[in-house]
Amino acid sequence: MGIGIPLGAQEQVFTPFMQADNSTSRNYGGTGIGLSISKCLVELMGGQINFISRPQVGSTFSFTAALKRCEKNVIRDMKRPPSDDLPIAFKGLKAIVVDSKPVRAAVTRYHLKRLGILVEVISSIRMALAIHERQPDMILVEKDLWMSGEDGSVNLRLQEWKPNGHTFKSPKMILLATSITGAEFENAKQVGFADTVIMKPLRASMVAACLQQVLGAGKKMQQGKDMVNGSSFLNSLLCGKRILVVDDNRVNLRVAAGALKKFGADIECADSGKAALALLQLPHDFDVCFMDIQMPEMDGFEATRLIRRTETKANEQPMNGRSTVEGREAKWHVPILAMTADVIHATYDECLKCGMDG
Amino acid sequence: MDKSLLNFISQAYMDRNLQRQIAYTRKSLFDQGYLDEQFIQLEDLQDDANPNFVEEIVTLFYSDSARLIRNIEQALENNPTDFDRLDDFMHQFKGSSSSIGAKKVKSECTQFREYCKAGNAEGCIRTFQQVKQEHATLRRKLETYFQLARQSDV
Repeated sequence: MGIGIPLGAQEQVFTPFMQADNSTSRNYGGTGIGLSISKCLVELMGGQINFISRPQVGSTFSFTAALKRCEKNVIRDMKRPPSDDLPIAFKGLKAIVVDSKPVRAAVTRYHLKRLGILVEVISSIRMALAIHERQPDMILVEKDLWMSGEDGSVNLRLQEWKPNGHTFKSPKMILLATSITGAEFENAKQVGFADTVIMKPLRASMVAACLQQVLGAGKKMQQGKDMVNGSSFLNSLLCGKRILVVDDNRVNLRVAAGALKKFGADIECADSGKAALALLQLPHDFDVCFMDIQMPEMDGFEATRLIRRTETKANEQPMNGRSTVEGREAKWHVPILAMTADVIHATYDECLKCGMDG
Repeated sequence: MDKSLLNFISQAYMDRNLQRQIAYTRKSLFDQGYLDEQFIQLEDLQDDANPNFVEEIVTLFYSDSARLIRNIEQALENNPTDFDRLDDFMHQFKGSSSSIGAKKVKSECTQFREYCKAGNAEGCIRTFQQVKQEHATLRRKLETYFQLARQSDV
């Protein structure tokens, strides 16, 4: 049911830029071209467009078109057939998306629908948690909504939320974000969010990987072209982490950084052993370092040895002034993982010998 | 009827043809063995946050490898040939080629390294010509492909 088109204006409906009255664009937006374009398209497709309209009741548009079967090759040539690669394990699951922005929520809904998930969009966390009878399998919350805590939900301890009297499995809570810091992630986990964040821009395959990890749904997942296998594990491992990537090959460096960013990591690049040492001067905030072994001037082994030496020295010093975590002693030891194209047994031992972690 | 609208419509049909052309060009790069799986990995890393990722990496590769090619050429002119040095350069070159999925270039690099290990200077020189040729051919083909792809972004 709509506002309908005044009888006087009905003749001009298909004329470009004509709207029934000036206030239309103020109320509904638009420039007045839509119907003219539609008429063009329909006529190009060998058809006709028509409508019936009554003011205060609404309008009904209809059209005819002559279509023919498309050649089979066209679909095969396209980069990715739309529906084939996605896992089917999530079909029928119910999700609530908590987002105050309708357009953004529509995009999220689209990606979830591609996985067969039924979506309801709600604009506040409190409201979402209050609707028990929906019984969703998961609740996806936009990070900015949670962080703004408008409805006091930041302090909401999710584990404490219990349905009144009924027994049902509590839905998994997952954050949606374009970026996230280590601290934010820790806070989120403490409040009860799952230990993986769905990173944006959204891609159905990555969403599937995250959900797979959180829900443990569906053992059999189709082997998509994307890195679905193991990627959900990596997502939770790398999300919000500060990572240093060291490689003298600029191309490899850029590719590695690009790949790690996909998992929500915060990447810093260094193109030599020396540069890595400078960045790893204590104190530093890196959670892990990926180090290329074969580098000119200072190779990965040498760099690691020097880093470990610095750490040992720092750890030997008295405790005062050093930050402690819950009273425990914080020892400096940044995990260093070797990256190499030639993986030989002897090399692995050498890695361990100089102080690498893998 | 408004002429500009007609133009708009015909543009839509031209775009569809462009898409077909792009897809075909891309497919033949794989079918003819110029590119391998790794290129697809790069494409997978391209998204709205990094809309030109693939082209950026390829551009980086070509500017980086130009330097390596010069180094290798100079090293090949030296007498006696320093095979270790040559192998180091080629290791780099092969690494980058591999990262962008440059299949034919990579296989010529492998051949080159075999000759290095065997201390065969002549073999190195001959194979290096092949490396440069494949390198240049791929560059032309990728440039064509990116040009087409860029047209569809406008």
